Amino acid sequence: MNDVIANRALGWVPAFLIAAVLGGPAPGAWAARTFIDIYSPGARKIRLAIPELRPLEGRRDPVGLQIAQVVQEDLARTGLFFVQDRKSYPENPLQAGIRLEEQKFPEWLNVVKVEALIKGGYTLSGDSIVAEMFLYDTARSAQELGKRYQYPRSSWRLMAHRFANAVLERFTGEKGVFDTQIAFVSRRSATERGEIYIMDWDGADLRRVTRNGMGNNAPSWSPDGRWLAYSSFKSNPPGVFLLPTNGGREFRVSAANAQGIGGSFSPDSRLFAYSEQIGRTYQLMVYDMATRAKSRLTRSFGIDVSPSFSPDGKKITFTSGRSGGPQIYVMGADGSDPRRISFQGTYNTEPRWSPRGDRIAYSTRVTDNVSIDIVTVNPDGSDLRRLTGGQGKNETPSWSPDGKHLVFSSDRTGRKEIYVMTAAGTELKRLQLGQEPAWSPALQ
Amino acid sequence: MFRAGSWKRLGMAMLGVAVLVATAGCAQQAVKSDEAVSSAPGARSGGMSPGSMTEAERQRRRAAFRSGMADFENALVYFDFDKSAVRPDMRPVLDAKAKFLLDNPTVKIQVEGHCDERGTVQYNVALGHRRSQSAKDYLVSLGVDASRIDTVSYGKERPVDPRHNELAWSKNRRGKFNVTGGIPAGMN
Repeated sequence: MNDVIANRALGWVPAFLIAAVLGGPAPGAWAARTFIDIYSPGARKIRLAIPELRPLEGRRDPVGLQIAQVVQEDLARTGLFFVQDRKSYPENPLQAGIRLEEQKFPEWLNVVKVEALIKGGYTLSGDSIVAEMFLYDTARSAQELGKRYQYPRSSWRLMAHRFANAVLERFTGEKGVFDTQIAFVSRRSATERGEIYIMDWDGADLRRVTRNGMGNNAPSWSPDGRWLAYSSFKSNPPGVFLLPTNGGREFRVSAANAQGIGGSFSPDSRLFAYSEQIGRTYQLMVYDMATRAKSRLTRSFGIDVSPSFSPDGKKITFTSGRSGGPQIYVMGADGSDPRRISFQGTYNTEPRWSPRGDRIAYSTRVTDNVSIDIVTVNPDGSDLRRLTGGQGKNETPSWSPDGKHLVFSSDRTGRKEIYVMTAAGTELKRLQLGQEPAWSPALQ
Repeated sequence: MFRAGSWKRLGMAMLGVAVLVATAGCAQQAVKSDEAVSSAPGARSGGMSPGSMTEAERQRRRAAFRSGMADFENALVYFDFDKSAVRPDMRPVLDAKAKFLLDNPTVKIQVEGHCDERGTVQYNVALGHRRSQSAKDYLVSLGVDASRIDTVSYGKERPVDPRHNELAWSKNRRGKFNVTGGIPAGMN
């Protein structure tokens, strides 16, 4: 019954991708600019244009427009950009040049008010695609970025995401996370039990990980990308399993004779904290990946579940029912000094510590007892901000590795689906049917 | 308080046993009449040896066991929202289950704890566990050996009614009982 999965199933990056820098971008005017942070939804957006990529040799292929659309979508969903409508572009992208000296910057700047212009071209040969892509500052008539990529043709999406990463880094000084993935639980039919799936951050390239037919929950990645943890009803008692992402054999991390659920890794990927049945209740345990030693973290009479480490590894936030209903707590990573941080609402669960360390996201049941919203708070529980607005049940928030986005599930349309939004609650996008999403680490 | 309650429940269960024995008069009479008819030498009184039973008697006993087991497995125990304590109105259901288990001391069971769809996956797994434990504790308090009762929680993963309303939720907050082993020979 072990789910042994191949490298490809998790969609890890092929090792033979090539990226080269084209031209020498001048010291970036944009990099030096101070853009208002993504956390401020009122920030003025940068006007961006990205015409269809043109064939550098041979015939036009749909991939030219597809790459442009993926890059556009990635950048738009940061909330930093306004993407100019393609129909208003002042030139035919199949005839216009892509090099710096071929650009008609005054038209872009003055007629359609575009500040950032992305141009690109591609050559398809056999199973590979070679693409040249540029980012121009129309106001300075300057090249900010130039890249040449050679990728397997089937990996054109990954190539587009990588270029969008580089563009975002040029603007913010921080690389984007557009090449990351999201693990989640989905039932593809009403009668099917939950299986673990993985998709790209934009919902594309859906891959199935488990196929045991018994119900699976709570996927979670190790920050080094080597492990995918999940809980499964495939065994008796049900337990928590750690699956190597390189295709090796999984092992059961929770006790063989007790039921276990959930869990997440420490930032250095050396510890895995999870919840296990002890007597009448569930308590938090921690497993040392190197020594294989297990120890108990909490000693309460309540239900303790859903641990999440702070990015410095020194603290853990978790859900506990020790005061009656479930509430959010923070304690030392050794289990010391647990303190309750949620005081509004009677049902607060699933806390996840932001990789930036400054906020904790969790789901809170609204007073009507039906809807559940995603909120974020400071690690001491202060400054509660509601990110979803009482539309159905919004649950299981998980941060992007750069802390700028949250993925979560919502049944606002009547079915449980995965959504992504910025950490400010803007740029909402629906991805796939499913629940319990977990964002992968950034992979180099 | 807990002890007093347990004794009271045990008393009620004993009463339940008496009532059940009385209402099971038909089966008892059938056994007696079979004994009377049996003239085989060496037939033991009480008719407990399968070898001494007629085929008709074996069929009757098997049917009675199968019926008792079906009742045991079909009757669900329901819980209040976000609670794991056994509701007073659910005690008779558990009393009947204890009777079946005490009458069939080889039988082993698993108690499944389930929750409604409200609340989150992981917390509900722990809550479902508490529900299965509460049911197990109740059966143990009536004299059933704890080692015969296994528990498992499915949280909110396996609803019987997938709808999103109070009626569905009240049906889904349940304890389900499965016979997992120890069925006496010939009763299968």
